[in-house]
Order: sequence, then structure tokens, then C-alpha cells
Amino acid sequence: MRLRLLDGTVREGPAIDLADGPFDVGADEVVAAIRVDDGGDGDDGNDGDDGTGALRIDCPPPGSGYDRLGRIPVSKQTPSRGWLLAAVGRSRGLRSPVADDLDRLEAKLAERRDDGVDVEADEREPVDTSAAALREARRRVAAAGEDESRLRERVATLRGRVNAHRDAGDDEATETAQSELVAVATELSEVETERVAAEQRLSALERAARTERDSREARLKLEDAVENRRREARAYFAAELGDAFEAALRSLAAAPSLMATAESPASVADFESDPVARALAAARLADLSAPVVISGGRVSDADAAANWLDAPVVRCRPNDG
Amino acid sequence: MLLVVTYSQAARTTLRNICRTHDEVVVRRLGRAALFDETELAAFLALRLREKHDEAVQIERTEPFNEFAAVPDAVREAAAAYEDRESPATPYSKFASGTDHPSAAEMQRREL
Repeated sequence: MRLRLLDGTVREGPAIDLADGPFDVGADEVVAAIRVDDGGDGDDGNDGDDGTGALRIDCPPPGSGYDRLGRIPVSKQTPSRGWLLAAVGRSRGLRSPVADDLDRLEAKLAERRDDGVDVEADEREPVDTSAAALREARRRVAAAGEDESRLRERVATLRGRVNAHRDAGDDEATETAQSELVAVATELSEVETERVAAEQRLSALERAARTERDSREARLKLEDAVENRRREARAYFAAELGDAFEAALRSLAAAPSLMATAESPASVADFESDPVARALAAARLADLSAPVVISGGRVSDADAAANWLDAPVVRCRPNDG
Repeated sequence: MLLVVTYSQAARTTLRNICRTHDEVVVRRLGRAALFDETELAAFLALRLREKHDEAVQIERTEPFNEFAAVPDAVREAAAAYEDRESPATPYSKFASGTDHPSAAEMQRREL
């Protein structure tokens, strides 16, 4: 591996230590530089010869499993044995018995996600079944209903008044009340029409929402199936590689200088619950050709780590200090 | 009661948490759905769930089913008579034909 720093300094070899030097490079930048290399050179339009370019690392491209094990500590705070060993299995090109099933389900799920987008883009008149649209439709129905019952009461009152005035023989008052009644009755019939239209719109939206929910339900079932298969795959790799994993932990316990521990000497049982020890053991089992980025101060000797892991190592400072 | 149905993993998890912390409003839990009682607190919890997960949450209000109020006598009687049939292998279509019992197609056409 060949690593060129921002100031133009070049470091070479299977183990590079940036943590103790004067170079302020965090694990994120190192991992990003390793991934950039994978995507082909020169993308950023800067060949870096002027010494001001970004950190550059020439190394083999990260393969399967590197996403989880390429960095220690790993992205999970308490990585499970199955999670680690599934990545080990992937890096070695192993396939679990459920791998075909899992591929099929994942492809279906991806298709469904694409479909969802297509349908929305292609439909002549896409129906907005969002919670906001439905909420607005419900609000309109409720408001129109309230208006309607208010006006209905008002019509009843006015009708009573017209009759009372007529019985009393007050023609003028009857006339006034009568014309008010006509106006309110007209308004009532308008509001009724509005309410009916609002109800129709709401039920059309609810029908569309039901279709939308069918597809959400199908997707949820697929997601659950994918998760179940993944769980089975993790259990498979945990069983398949469990012995080797324990052997790696024992080997780590037998090399106390590799990793700083709270207890010393640390036992295999201590390592079982130590996320850094677990990650190191998994990285040793994995077939990683790109450099493992180690940060956090638990490992102090990059050369010894590279040797033990049988993989290139970059030691650097963690990103959050 | 309020029927709350979820349609995503995240919404289902939130509903599960609500059910765990507010079992006083939960009448029944049904996997990724739940029946809440009809209180303002239940409505508040259901609405919060929908605010959080949008379309992945469906809220319906259920009403008690009274077959004597909502269902015509013929349908009720047909159900009772069919379940009381002599031969368990008889399909409903055969059982109903030539009797006064409504056909499945007829019942499908008619709303309650």
C-alpha cells in the first residue's frame, strides 16, 4: 500500500501509522480515500502532484465484507457474532444456504421500490393518498357537515317564525321572515351539494389509499422475509465460523501486546464481550485485501496488527477526537 | 373503538412501543394492528403515530356489530341454517339453491 498525505508526504508498506505522527487524518478520511481508490482515479480532477490534493491511498480495492470489517472499531457499538461472521463469510466468498432465497427476495423488494416510483411517475392522474391529502378531505367533510346542520336548524327556526307571523296576521313580518327563509334554504342546498361532493372525494381517496396500503403491506411482508433470511444467514455463519472465531480470540489473548486491555492478562471471556477484540478477531478471519483502518488507541503497534490480521493496516486517530 | 393499522417496520415498532407503555388504552393487539378504546388519550396516541409515520398508519373507527339491527333476517337465518346443515361437505351454493336463502352473489351485491 502506498499512502500520500495532504502535505505530499508518502508512506509505504503493509502497516502505516498516522496516529502518533504530526498528521491530522481521521479514520473517516482514510476509509473514504480507500473507497475512492476503488472507484477509479482522477475523479476529483486533481491528480495530486502539487501536494495539495486530498489524501490518496493506492491499495487493492475493498471487497465483500470490507463495509463492516474495514474499520475498527466497527460501525456497530456491540457487533453481534453473527453480524461479524456474516461479513467474514462474505469476504471469503462463502454463501449461506439461504443466500439464493435472500437474493431473490432482495431483488423483488428492489423491484417493488422501483415500481412504486414508476407508478407515481406514469399514472395519468396520480391520486395523492398522503396522510395530508386524506386529512384535508376529512376536514372538508366534517366542516361541510357542520355547516349543513347549522343551516338546517336555522331553516327550521325560520319556518316556525313564518308560521307564527302568519298566524298572528302580521303580513309584513311574514314577508320578511319568508324571504330570509328562502335565502337560507338556498344556502343550505348549496352546502348540501358541497358536502356530498366532499364525501365523494373522500371515499375516492380512501379507495386509492386502500390500494396503496395493499402495496405497502406486500412490501412490509417482503422486508420481514428478507430480515428473517438475513437472521438465518447470520446464524449459519455464526455456527459455521464460530470455532475459528474463538480460536482467533484465543490467539489474541495469547498476544497481549497487540491490544490494550482493562485487565491484563485478559481472558478469552473478557474478549468475548469486548467489541474491539471481537472486531479484530473477525478481521483476522476475513479475507480483506484493502487496508483495515484502526483507530481509538487500543491498538498501538500497526506492524504487529497487520501481521496478526494478515492484512494491511492504517492506524489513525478516531474522527470524533 | 379505534382500529390502528401500520404498514411499515418503523410504524409497527412505534405502535408496539405505544402498546407497551399505554396498555390502558389498548383493547387488543393484533400483530401490526391494534384496537384502542374510545378515549381522547387513545385518539391522541393514534394521531401522534400518524403524524410520525404518515401514510404508513391507518386509523379507523369501529362500531359494535349488532346483527339484529344491521343485518336482514334472511342473512342471519341463512348463516344459522347453513352451520346447522346435515352434511358438512355441502357447499353453500348447493345448500341455498331451491330454498329461500339468499345466494352468495346476491349478498355480495347488497350493502348492509
